Amino acid sequence: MIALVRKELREQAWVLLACAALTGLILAGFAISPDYNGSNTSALHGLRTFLIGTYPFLVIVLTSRIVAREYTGRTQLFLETLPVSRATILTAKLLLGLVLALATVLVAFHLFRNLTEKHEVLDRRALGVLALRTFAYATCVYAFLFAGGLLGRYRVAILLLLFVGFFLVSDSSTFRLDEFGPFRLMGPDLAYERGRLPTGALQVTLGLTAGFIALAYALALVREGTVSALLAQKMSQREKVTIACLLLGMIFLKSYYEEARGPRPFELVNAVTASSPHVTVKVGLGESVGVERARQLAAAAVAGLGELSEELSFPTLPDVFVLPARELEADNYQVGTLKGARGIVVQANFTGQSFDDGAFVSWLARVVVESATRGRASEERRRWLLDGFSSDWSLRHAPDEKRRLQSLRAAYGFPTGPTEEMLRDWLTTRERRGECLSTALAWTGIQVLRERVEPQALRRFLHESLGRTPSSGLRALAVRESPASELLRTTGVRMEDFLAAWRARSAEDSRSLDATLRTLPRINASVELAPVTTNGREVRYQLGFEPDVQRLLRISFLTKTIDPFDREIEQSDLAVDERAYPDLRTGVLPRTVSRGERLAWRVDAPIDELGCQVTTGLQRVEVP
Amino acid sequence: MLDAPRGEAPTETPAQAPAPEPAPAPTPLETAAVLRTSGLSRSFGKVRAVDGIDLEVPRGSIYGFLGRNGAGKTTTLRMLMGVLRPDRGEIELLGTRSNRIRSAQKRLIGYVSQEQFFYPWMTAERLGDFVGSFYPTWSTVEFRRLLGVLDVPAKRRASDLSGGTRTKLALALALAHRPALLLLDEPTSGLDPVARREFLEILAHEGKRLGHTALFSTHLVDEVEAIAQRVGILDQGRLLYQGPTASLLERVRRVTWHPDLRQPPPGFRPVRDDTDAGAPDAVLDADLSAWAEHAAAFASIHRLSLEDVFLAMVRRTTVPAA
Repeated sequence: MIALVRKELREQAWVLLACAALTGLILAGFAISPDYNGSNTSALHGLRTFLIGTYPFLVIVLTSRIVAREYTGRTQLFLETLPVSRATILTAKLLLGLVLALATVLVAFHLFRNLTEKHEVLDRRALGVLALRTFAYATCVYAFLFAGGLLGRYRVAILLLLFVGFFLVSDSSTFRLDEFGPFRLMGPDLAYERGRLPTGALQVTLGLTAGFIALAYALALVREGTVSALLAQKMSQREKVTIACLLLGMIFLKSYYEEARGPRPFELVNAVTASSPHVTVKVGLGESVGVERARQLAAAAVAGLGELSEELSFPTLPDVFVLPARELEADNYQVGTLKGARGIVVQANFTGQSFDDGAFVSWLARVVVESATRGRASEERRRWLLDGFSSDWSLRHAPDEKRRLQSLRAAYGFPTGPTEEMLRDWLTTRERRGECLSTALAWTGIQVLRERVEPQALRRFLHESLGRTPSSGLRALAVRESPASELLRTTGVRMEDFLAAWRARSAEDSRSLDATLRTLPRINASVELAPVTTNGREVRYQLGFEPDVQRLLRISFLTKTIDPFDREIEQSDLAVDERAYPDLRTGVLPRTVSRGERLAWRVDAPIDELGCQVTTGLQRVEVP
Repeated sequence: MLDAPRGEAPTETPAQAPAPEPAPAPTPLETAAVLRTSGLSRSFGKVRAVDGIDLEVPRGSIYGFLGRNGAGKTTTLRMLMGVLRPDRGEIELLGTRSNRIRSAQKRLIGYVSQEQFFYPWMTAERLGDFVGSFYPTWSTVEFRRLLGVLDVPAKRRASDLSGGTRTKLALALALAHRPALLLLDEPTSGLDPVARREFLEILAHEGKRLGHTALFSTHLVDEVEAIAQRVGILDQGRLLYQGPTASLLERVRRVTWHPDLRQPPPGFRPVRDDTDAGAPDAVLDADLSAWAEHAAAFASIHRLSLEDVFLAMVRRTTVPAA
């Protein structure tokens, strides 16, 4: 095997040197690019761009030299006469190529890690997650192209067909290429997701890798290697024409299918309709829903969504269908799903006594933005912006007291304002401080922008960040977007400057509201896991407020045992146990946990002065 | 298949009855086989390329494996080289029996194929280094000597060598690790007559000098006549004859029938089952003693050249009288 490896290295020396030089140039370009050296964007975006944009091409060159060339040059027939088995020949090539490919990735990984650590802290877990995602993806791509190399004359055609096929399928179905296996590993969250390993995607990727390697061995060994030898022969004119026709046919079929199918608009009979150039709202009539009430709500929704459309520069918004649901609380709204039809269906008890049209339209606006942007607006990196904008938009006609309340909430929850990490890991921030306080903080950010940026520029920024549909298919993998770069591009404001101004505003608010803030209680809770059996532990708690609260509060304990990699925990998954304070400052929760489990817990308490729940934030503990 | 009696002596040519001669005892050469196969078969789809052949290549001999294009020679050699796996049958190489040749056994074999697929960027010298690293018995000194003998430029890249020189280089690569068995698959196809003659002379000379055992396939009868002591004739995947070349020439002769006798006497049989019964002559196979005993039964008996014997065995039409 050593002789084979030495032969390959000698044979490919010039190509390897050229690839190394090219890789070096590309990586040097990344290293000096301001995009990856500032604190605006994580340098790990560069790693993703390199792995998606450059690495596959390097591997194509590598595998076509190491594998395909051996068969097209028929020199494998010479190798087969030597006292070495086909499996050994293939293994030598596989391992050599893999080492070279992963060495390239290792260099890139090291470079981008260093660039990242200039501005961010990567702990061991984050590095582990990053490394697993990176090298699993790299190995999978290599295995795929290695097996492709054995397809001889069909390898380019099959790559093209796969490329076009995936693109067409992801464009014309609910299948999301960027959510699939190795593409998921290289998803946009590579740069931000530090704690959670996408285990499903990792398993798919490893499975694919094993499959591709098995395919390579099958092609090389089945029928004494005659399959790969036959595939390596030159393509005939007839084959070329067939493949060209196949490619064109796929594109034609896709266009035809799109034309013929198209999602049909959802139809709601027995409804009142209100329309504007931007949106159509239909409110369903029911037994207890009068036409006038439905018309009133439809008009309110159309007006509100019209304003939203102008604010975020949406050309049009999806149709909205509001269905009456008397079983819901007046302040509880639900979104339904539509299959094979366009539009948004929501349910609300809009005939209830305490139903607030304004609050409903504010909630609806957020749903519409998420739907119109196909979830892009609610990605974690721009979620703070969506929270802030939604709050700002819902308060656009509200009295000043409500705005002051938002400032108070933000100052209570975040006296020194946000950090870059808080915005980047916004879901974590929300989890720790609660939705109410976090939204208030995001709202203050929008106020800072309103103060510092021209309205037109702000509108452009909001449109770029919250009002655009995402790139789809393969384009989504290559396009790198972040609120920081969008802010700079549309308003000329650098993220660092914006954050500094935001923190200054927060500090100012904290100073001016200091007297009030001192009177507001801060929750203080701790949990102790005490053994009750060899493995069983009971959950003991201690509660307190600073300054202490003497009035009766209904405190909520929310708990859940969690898996090792669980990150975002849905509110609905938490078991709620309510306690009365100050009667029960200490106590034992009714649940027990076992050794080796993990417990997530949180305490929420309503603070009237803030008009919202404050929270200890979700805490995760290993059960000792 | 015609079975060759061991060690038959040559006889005089004319059609008259030759005097019978005693058959000598088998030589040690023929008893110690380097290679034996039994029932070796290989099909490609529905086509039976090789159909149950039993080869025997004695130590120190040069075995000419004769057959028309498509007879199954290359398939047989590729099975013997371990490149193809037989469907049925066994191969015994230096006393080790198996159903296929494994990588380790390839170290005992030198192989020259019809076409040479060397790495074009490698010089002859570098090819020697590369190939030599797979053989523990490789001798660089011997390889250099062979390059000299075969007149192969050591520093020239394989892509710059002529077809004949590439074949000589393949021979040098095959011989330099001193194989127990040399397999040559139509090595001279594509060579001009001069290069062919040179190649065969060197092969015969080196074989004699080093005592190699060689099996070389060809469809050119004169090559077998020139250097092979034994011959195997393959047709449509079946081995029609194997044994000493001289013995074959003694056994197979063309006869002209008497007008009143058109059936071969006992001990004689036509070399082909589809011999035309109405033809005035036939090619028959018989022991030397039978030829001596029944010489008068035929109008005339003609000795045949190896080429005529080969044609008589594998050609679909009757060979006209010489």
